[in-house]
Amino acid sequence: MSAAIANAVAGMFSLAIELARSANMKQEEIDAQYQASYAKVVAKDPASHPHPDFDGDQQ
Amino acid sequence: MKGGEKMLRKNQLLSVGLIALLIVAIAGCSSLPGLGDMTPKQNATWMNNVYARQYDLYLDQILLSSISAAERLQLKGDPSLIKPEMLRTNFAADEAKVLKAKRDIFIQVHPMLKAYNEVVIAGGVPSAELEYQLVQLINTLLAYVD
Repeated sequence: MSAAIANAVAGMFSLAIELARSANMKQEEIDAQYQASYAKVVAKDPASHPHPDFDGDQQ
Repeated sequence: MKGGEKMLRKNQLLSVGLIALLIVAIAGCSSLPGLGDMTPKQNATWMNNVYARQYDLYLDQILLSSISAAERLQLKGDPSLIKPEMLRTNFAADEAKVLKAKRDIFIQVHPMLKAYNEVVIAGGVPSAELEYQLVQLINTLLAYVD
């Protein structure tokens, strides 16, 4: 009986450690996704390239 | 204390410990961000990705169809490589109107989105007004039928 409880306690500790680890991984993933998304915004600057002359280039 | 009582007492103590651990685990889980409460960084990621996706669609619409998929991908990654001769001409009136409106929104959104990101990078919380204006402009972009 006490061995079963000890196993349950050990399981809870493992769960707590796993939760903490997954929370850290999630934060790293969020940071990586953010950095990638912002790099795209910086690159896609509408002032960095020519645009068609929409007023003059109509059929 | 008899053996049975001793065992019962031990089990009671273990149960209390188990409940305490459960409470700690639940408290830990509740601190994880949910879908409804995104952080400024997550909001910025969403807005950045929508902007980038819409910009790619805009580039697809203004670049000549003769440009290869590989070159198109490169130009989307670095639009500063786009030359005037790579651009389409002769747009239908309706198409020109929509693309011009989209271009004007990109010109308006880009500095605002950069400002939002700079606050996020500095560890701050962007103003609700800036966030509202950005979301409105992004929604306007999304409203255009591609």
